Amino acid sequence: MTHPTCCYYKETVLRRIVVNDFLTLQNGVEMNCVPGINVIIGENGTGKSTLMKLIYAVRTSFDTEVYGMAHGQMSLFVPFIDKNYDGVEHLPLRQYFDADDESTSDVWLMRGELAKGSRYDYCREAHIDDDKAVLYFDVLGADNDETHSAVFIPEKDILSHSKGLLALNTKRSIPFDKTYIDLLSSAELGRIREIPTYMIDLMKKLAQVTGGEVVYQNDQFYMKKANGQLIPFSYEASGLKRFGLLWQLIQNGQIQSGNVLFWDEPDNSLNPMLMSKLAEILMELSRHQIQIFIATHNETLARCMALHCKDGDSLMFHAMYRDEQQMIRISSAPSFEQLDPNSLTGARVKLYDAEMAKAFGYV
Amino acid sequence: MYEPIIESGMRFDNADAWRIEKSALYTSLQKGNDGLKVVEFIRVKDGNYIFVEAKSSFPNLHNPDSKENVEKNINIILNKFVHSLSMLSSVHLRVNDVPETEMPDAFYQLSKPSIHFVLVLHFPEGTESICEEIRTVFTTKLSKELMRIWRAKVWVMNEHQAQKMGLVLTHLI
Repeated sequence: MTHPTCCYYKETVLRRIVVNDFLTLQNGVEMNCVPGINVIIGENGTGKSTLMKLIYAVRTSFDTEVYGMAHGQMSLFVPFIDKNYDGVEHLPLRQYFDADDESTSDVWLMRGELAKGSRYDYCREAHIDDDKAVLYFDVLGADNDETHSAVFIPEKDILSHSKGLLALNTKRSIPFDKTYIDLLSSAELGRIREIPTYMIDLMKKLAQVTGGEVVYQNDQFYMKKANGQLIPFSYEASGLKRFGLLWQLIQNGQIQSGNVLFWDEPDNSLNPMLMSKLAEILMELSRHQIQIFIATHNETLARCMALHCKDGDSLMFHAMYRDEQQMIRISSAPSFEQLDPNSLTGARVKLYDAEMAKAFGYV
Repeated sequence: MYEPIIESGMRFDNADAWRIEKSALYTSLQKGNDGLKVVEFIRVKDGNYIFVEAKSSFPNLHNPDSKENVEKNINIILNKFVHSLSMLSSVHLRVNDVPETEMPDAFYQLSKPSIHFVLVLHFPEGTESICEEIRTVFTTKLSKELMRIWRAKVWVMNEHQAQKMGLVLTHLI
């Protein structure tokens, strides 16, 4: 049976991403994505988080006024715009935008079938001006009316620090990484009226891992255990918070069919014994038309993804690396073993070689 | 004349090596006992006992259909390691004898040796990464008690790695 959101899904899925000259990503960094799960690996400094944040920023800008979006999403890259943040936020975006300026960068987000339509039918551009260190976006094409929701889960926990943070941000417009603010805003939302059956099943699986459900009250998140005990999020085990967060975002409809989930290092603080469960749940989400991008340094998680991949699932591994000229490149493969270069197995093999050399007296 | 040990298409250094698989002791013990299997040879090297088994093929770890075959291969090789260690111990305990010329003097001169079980793979798919994965499986299958008693370590390496560790010869001698 065809899933009712299938058509919508096909139209909104990210198929190809091309980035030119954006921070560390220079000269045509290109990634061909699958509709299911895209696992991004690479050494530190190869731009995994930057790429995901950039896609998220442009992606979430589709349903936002261009000025408002630029204002809001600028802080995604706060380390790079902090210096000029106060001076820029009130200025009209178009004052700085010049499509013919060679110093600007392009980000094309290709949606739907690549063969259909021209590049400008399906793209949006993001620009960064090195001199002013400000990120610009502009709309191209006629896609402004559609809603394209996305969730970005940064590597660190923010739910433990919820009390007063959003209010402070609203009042003071603090230059805080926007992904954390966005996530907190999403997590605070209440339960949706009708949760699809398949999501309820997933929530049960998540609740089994955490031993309870997430509760939001008095501006704070708690884990309500099966015995009724309320544990503040700050006291909950870090690994279990990851599952609790996912539960919360499903129950309030932030993660649902047609959305894109970006998750930076979901393996953070997670015991390897739980990697398989996490991979199983992510694969299950992808089967319900949720496109997923994760960046990881964890080989166990990457391999668990492949383990839980069934016929009909789509899973792609992407390796971000520096070539001989130190330019960032992306190579992709449908299986973890075929990925080349592979920084995760490379590190493991290097360690194994060193252990062997020590054992045999060749250090 | 120096003659390397040729196994699975590789040329192994035979310095201080006891070819246990070709030994008179193994031949006599094996009579009427098909279950007794041993490694190709044992070497004394840099204070270590190195038990070497060579193979020119190994089932694909990532193929679910090969799971039984992987287990079977691992069990056979682990038995070879364990039986070889038992045989060597039986000689040192004087339960069994070997001719003086068969076992190198170095075997009687070690003090507090380390025990290394080494599987050397020689086939195109035997990358360093695959070797490490196979080794992980071996480590989980090897008896914890045995590893504790003997402080034994297991290694899986390809020809290139075995050359680096000084087990396989790189040039004609």
